[in-house]
Amino acid sequence: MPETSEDHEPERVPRAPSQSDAASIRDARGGARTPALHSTEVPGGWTWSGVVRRGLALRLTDPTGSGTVALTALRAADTSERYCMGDTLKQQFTSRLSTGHALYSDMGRILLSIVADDVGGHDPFGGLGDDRLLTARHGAAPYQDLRNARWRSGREALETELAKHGLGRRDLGDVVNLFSVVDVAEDGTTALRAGHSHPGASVVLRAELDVLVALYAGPHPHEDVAAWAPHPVGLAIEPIAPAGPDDVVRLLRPENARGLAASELATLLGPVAA
Amino acid sequence: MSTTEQPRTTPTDGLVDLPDVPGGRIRESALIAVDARADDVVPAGDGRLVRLEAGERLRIVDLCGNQAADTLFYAADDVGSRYSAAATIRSEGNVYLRAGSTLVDQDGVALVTITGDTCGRHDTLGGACSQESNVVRYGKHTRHMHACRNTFVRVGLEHGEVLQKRDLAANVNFFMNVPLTPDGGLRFDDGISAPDRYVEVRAERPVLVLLSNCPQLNNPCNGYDPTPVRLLTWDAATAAAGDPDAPAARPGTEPATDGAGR
Repeated sequence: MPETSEDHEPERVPRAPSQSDAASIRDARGGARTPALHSTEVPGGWTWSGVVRRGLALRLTDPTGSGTVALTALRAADTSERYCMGDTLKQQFTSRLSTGHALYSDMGRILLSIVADDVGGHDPFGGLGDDRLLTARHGAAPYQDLRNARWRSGREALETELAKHGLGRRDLGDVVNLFSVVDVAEDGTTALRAGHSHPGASVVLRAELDVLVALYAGPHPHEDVAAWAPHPVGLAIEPIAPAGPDDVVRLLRPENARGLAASELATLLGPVAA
Repeated sequence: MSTTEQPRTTPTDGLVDLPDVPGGRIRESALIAVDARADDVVPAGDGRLVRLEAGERLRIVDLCGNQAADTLFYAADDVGSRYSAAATIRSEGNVYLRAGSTLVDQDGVALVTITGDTCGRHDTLGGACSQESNVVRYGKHTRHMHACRNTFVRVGLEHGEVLQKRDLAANVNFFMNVPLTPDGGLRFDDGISAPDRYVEVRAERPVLVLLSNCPQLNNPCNGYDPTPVRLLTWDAATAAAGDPDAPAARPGTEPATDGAGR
């Protein structure tokens, strides 16, 4: 499995930070933090994927304040184990995710933890747009006519991205839509919240296992607008210490302490079922 | 907006909003058990894989009340197309399933439509129980208890492995009451079902229905007392003649007519 789909350079030695990195090595509160091992910007409508190893964190930034990032996660050692929306919601009794929340796999382990979030919540059930939906919204988009301006649905884009890691349609599970929130009324009616994010908003996801992450910077599927105008996302991979005894995720709920312990045990033992 | 809820009640289709259950909507099906082509009782802790041809109906009857029926749907000829909770929520504009809802696959194409529902609201977000998630939720003492994900995997193994672990998506919990709160919370409440309430679906194309009759003993999803459900199946001609006013699939979700389904 390649480390990332975009970067096949064999050497991955972190370079010394330069002046131009100054902004990227400040955290949300302006404090200094460890330089990123890798950083890039994913253009609107495009994808990124790669294994984020335990000991690393993925920092995603919304430069325009209007972006959405659909993110899915699978355990690199066994991709039948992947982000599980149902377990994530029911273990934490929530329908949106923020600092201290975890993205659970279907095997009782935490794949990724949210350790910083200055957006204020993310949508775990909005899913992905598909070709049928986008054709209805934007019309057909033949590459022959539109070249790189053609739209891509999140579903098509993430299926293609996972295929680069040897996976198939059946392996694409649920996603979290970062930088977006869907409000739910008492009668169950959904409404995408307008203006939820802000320019420069960021969220940091800590890998609790070696995790294959695939993400798509595209419009939220509940955003029913005629124009195809996806927004970019900034991405950085940074070293991070493992969760300590007073970790924000561990302390949020006893369920999360047990989920982290399961990931820690799997780190020691390798793949175990239960 | 195309993604918001459209008026679903017509003079003939019989959809009725429940006044005391927010979002709840019921419809009595006119089909009767004596006309069913199959009649099967699934004990708690057991599972089934049922194939439905286009137009066929499957009714799940909560025989004793407060049972949770964890259910997944697949295109019978291409299990890579499967029920998507997220796509269905988006298409319906609502997180709950109820009478008249059309369940779609990840590409927004109809799999089944709820043609009968005397319960009125079903969970799409709570997922299935498993040994592993039970440990996280309740502690190590619950590791060795029967669970829906084991049932799903076992039923898949028993049917030539056409369905494997990686095919398990976010499932429907029929009869289960998992209200979301406007502040973003999620609860597991006592059921709103009762003895002999049912949900009935019509296949919009050939589908596989994977069902686990939930054995969970640690929360109120089945009243701490798992009980049997009954599965009734009607063939397409009998269903169309016996209940001609059943609601149609949501506009825009109809399967392509070329047979590929997408």
